[in-house]
Amino acid sequence: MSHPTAEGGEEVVINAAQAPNVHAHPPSTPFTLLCHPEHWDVFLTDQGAEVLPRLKRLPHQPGVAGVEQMTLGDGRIVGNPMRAIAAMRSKGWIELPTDMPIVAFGSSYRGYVHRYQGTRGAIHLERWCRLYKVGTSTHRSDDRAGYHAFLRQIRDRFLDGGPEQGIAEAMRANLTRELGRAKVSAGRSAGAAAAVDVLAKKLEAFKRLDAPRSSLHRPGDAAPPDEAEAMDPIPNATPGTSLATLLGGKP
Amino acid sequence: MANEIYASSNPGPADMLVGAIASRNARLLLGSRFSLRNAPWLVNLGQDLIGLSASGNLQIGLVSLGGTDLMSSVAENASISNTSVTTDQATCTPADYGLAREVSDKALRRDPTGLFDPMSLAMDGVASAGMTLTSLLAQELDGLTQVGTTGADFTHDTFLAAQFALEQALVPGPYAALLKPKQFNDWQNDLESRGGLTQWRPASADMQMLRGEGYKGNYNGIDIMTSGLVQSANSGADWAGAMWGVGCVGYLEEAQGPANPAMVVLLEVAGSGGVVIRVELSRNSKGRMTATVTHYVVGTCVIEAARGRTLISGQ
Repeated sequence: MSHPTAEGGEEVVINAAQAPNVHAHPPSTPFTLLCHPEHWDVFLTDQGAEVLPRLKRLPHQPGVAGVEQMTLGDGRIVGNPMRAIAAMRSKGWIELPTDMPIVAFGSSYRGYVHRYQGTRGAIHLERWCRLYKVGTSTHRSDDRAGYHAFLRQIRDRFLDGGPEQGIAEAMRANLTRELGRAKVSAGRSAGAAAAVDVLAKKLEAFKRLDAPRSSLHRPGDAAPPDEAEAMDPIPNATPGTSLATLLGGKP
Repeated sequence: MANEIYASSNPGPADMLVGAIASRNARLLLGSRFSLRNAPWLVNLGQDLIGLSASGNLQIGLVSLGGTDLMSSVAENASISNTSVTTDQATCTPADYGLAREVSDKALRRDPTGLFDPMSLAMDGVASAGMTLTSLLAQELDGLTQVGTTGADFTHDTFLAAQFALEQALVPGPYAALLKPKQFNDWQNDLESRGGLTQWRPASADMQMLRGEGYKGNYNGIDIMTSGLVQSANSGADWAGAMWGVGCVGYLEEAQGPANPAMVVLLEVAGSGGVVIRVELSRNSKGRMTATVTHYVVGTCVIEAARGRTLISGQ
């Protein structure tokens, strides 16, 4: 017997070979993306290396992370994430509206979740992943540039234009340490040798962050506090000292 | 109605189980079948706590007792002021899950293999419950503090960085790591070419052994597992495995209510709070159909996020 599922569709096994728009891909529930002022990563984008938010995906899967089960009027069972989101908000997470305007694969959409029909229930993916069929098998294409543009949008709209200085410093210190470790291992590990290149490129991202903080503010924002008056968290640092200088690099 | 097992349709004995030889040739399709149910690195909340609210939420309090706060020196005749107990809270919300397999009488009597026997389907239901729990857990593991970086392969350095981060954060053992098979393969590949101390570690050689999905062995005292259910991150660019110590993630299996006289119970699996998985038969005599129905009520949660790290590496 078929039954309504949390993925929002009936679990009906379909022969993928006979249904052109049905994908043989694991089912997944709708989800909410969340960002956090402390969760960042360095992405290699078409603009070089950039520090961008690392988003968390909260699946609307009943039973996960406090997502509750809810039955809609038409009998469909869905996950109700409201309480889970409230709990995450108290830990600093910021939910991204599921209907926010985005651009993916060159087209504009409202909402970052896209639903496909799968052989074992609905599939929900980010708009920047696209499923398509070749013969009977399902393949995926990605719009990395579009996703990176979305992350920039999140950074500017929700996260004050970039990570706090202390977090950026910790990230750079981590990457520097990883790079050092990879360099030591590079002579005896192919994986580490490949990592040296990636990590070195990623460290470039912090040069952008070394620009005065005021340049990260968007037009129309309140003027940033005078740097000379701002409390400096780093001992012996003078106002205007760049991150590179503090960490021993060239100013 | 859909997906019932009939003698005359696919899947059914007429298509897949022709003749006695079929009983030796019926094989399991590829799939992720490694279950974390009852794994020692997870907290089974049902063992420690009762008191699920009527709305189905279990609040887990975390407190700074057991020596977390140090004493203050006090002057003679001075009054000792109270030290507050720091608290945090996690919530676990079990949800209802179920699986039904309905077989016609004709399909059952023409099945030479016993595959569609109710007890065989009951065992399938119990296995499915374990996989459902594993799937929920895998979805919890993205969003912890991150180790590794987007787009870069998983290397031995990523593994060590996670281990060091947990040790530095005072996380008690035992530790476990759950990786996507691709992450494990990248790590294996890196270990394969490593020189120095790493190449002489028996554990390095052990990690090269082919074991299939599931438990892969132990490295530096950390139990390593792989699962196809590990989730993707960064819009499909990366995999989000995890390394964690006990106390990071947990699950709660809500006990089934008492069986009522109308139920034909085929199998019950006991958990900490009573029967947690129940398989019953549902008979449609007029339609000559029998359904084997498995019930499981389960929820997972991150109890203390600082006890784990999400392992990010490129797909």
